[in-house]
Amino acid sequence: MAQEISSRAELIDALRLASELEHGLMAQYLFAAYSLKRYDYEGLKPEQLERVRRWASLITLVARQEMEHLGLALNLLSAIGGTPSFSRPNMPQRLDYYGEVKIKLTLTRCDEQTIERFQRFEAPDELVEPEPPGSKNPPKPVDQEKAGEWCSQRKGVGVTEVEKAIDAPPRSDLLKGAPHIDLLYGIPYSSVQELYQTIHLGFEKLSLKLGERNLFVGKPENQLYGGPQSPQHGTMNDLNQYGLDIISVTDLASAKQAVRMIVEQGEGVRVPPAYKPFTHFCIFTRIREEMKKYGLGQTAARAVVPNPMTVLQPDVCPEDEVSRITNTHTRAIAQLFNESYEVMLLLLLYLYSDQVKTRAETDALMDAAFFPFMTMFIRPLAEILTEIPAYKEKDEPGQAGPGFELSGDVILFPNLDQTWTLFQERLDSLVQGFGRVVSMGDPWLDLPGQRTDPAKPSQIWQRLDYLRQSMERLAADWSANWLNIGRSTEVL
Amino acid sequence: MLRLEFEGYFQMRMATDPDPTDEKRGVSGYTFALAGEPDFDGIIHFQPDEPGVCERAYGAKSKKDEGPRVGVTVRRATRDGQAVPDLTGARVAFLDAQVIEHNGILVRNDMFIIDPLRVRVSSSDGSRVLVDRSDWLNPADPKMAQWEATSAMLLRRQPKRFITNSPEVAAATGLSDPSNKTLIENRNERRVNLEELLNETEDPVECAALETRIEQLKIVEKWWDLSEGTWSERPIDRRAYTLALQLEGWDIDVNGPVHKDDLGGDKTRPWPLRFWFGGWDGDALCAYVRGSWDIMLS
Repeated sequence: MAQEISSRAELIDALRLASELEHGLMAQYLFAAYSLKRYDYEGLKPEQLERVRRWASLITLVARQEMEHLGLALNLLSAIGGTPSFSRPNMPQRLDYYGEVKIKLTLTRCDEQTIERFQRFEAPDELVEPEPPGSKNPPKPVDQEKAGEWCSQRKGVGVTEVEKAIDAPPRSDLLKGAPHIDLLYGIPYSSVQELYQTIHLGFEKLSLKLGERNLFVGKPENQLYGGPQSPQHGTMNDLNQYGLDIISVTDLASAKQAVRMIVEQGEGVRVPPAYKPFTHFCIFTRIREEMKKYGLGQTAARAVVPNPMTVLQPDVCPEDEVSRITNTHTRAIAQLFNESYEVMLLLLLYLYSDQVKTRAETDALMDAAFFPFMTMFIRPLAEILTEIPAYKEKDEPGQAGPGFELSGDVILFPNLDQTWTLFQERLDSLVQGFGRVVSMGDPWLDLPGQRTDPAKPSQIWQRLDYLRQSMERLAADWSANWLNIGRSTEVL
Repeated sequence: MLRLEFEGYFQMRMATDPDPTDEKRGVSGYTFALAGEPDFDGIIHFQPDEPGVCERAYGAKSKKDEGPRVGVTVRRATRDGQAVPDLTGARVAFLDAQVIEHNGILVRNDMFIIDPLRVRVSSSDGSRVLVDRSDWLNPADPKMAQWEATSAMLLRRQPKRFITNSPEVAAATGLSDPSNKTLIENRNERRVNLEELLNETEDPVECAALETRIEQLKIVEKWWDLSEGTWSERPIDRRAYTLALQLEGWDIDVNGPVHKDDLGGDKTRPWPLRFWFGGWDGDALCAYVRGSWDIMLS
């Protein structure tokens, strides 16, 4: 029989694992989406580019929803008194890092094999062919014909049936759980769907055992969520936009709803008819089908190297799957990407932390973390990296990409004043970093599509300079009054 | 005082959240530079012959004009309250203007600044500039970039009015009323027209572009939002509700140099400019403008 969650510590452990998994999936999806070709000088016909752009839209939607799942997992964690965490291993990792569930952590460009891997991550249990215990083989791709049939079934079902599907106990033939360092209690799961079922049952069981009020000891004000009940409703920071739906978790009913939403969106439990084409599994099924049909399985993405890293991070395995960036300019931009990513995680960590925050402080952190960092720095830097050479030798082909490297745990200072100083120092460091990168010159003029105006620098350099200006403005505003970023006036 | 009242559709080909501001083709938002179309330029175009304008088809041949067509003109002109019919039909332009938010770095929550701001009025055939004046973000330092502007300077260029479900916008853009139901019907009509157009289109590039537009027009509800509404009745999606109804109004006293003036304006005084943008149509990449410019006379 399956091991059940029977203590708060076990539930916290399982939720931290869920957070880590969602975080890792999100990075893989973003890496693939940013590798897709975008411009007419990249060798695809306009109608092919249109199709590929639709895939990028869909994959970035899935990635945003993984961020939502991460947000929900952190709300679940916070609700029962757990510490928020953005820790995760660097990529690549060996196939059995998460045990026999075989979720491979690796950053690869968006080709047919990558989409097959993603499709399997998100596959409903009934479409996954179980492997013999102890098998060392990589998991088999999902049967595409069966996947297509599953996704074309548009029959709507009611909430009750969805509840039933999630409330079903995990299978009794569970495979061995992950030998993962954070997973102290070895929660068994054979799929992501099953991990969430285990968590769902854990909430029910502990509510009975400890009493609901004793289980949900987290402060409601530490919950981050969107929609009409949210303090941020109607602003840029309303989290229920752009395909996201994040709820507050304060009791058993909301905890169960949060788990249900994660499973409905991604892992393919039954959903309303209009929703089904947008489940993660059906999105990847569609892309896989179109890649094959239009012969774009190997040509839709740029020649981005796998797992591009600025240094060999000590926790990666196997090392030979890492691509070390040796081009000096590219490495400087990749370092800037990693630093921006880490600052964004720090801002988020503080947002989810139990440190005292006023509403204005919460808004200010969101103002900095979401739109500026996610959209104006991290994504543009990632896109630039997929356009420029990874290696210094001109005869060595391959472009770089965002490595999502973490040099250690993402941790905050315990003291509030020190934390603001830390943020200011990190922002100032980024200003300097962008300044250095644009002053290093413009070696990209001869790359395809970069010389659009003989009198102007390359498109890439211009974009970097635009990012530099943005970071200077952000850091200056933070320094002058960090509560007022981008708010020269209130909404009238 | 000479008052020029102007209105019409304009085009603004730009990325939408959560795409970065400088996104050229559109990925995560709901606006796209489609197959066969040039990159986004992010510039407000009041006239159809401005470089960068790319007007789309709206339906099968019999229905080709059922959608916005770019052209902002003076509809009425008065000098001290007396009509000046010669100026009716004059062309209005905001040269190289952009609606800017920079993803929350400069301003937030759709309180866009307009920058640069230079207003030009030309004869109805476009052959002669009648009046042309710039506004300075900072009169003490005309070269100041938007990145360096203070909050007070940005505030001058931000909207003073923000109205949702505006009946004025609905009427100006041909909607019978400002209800969600009417908006959704409008989108569905456009989609049906485009589906007919797709059936009679053979060019693969045009077909690919139409397929994307039809796919976007199909999204009228927040399908992903499971914590609002019911499964059978979903909240309206931004693709539909931003099609019309929102109005943002600016009041800017144009304060900078006069580049050309055949109308007798007093260059020493600011000329108040009042206008609203509304009825943003993410499929057409167009919106409606209505406003007035008061030229203070010498």
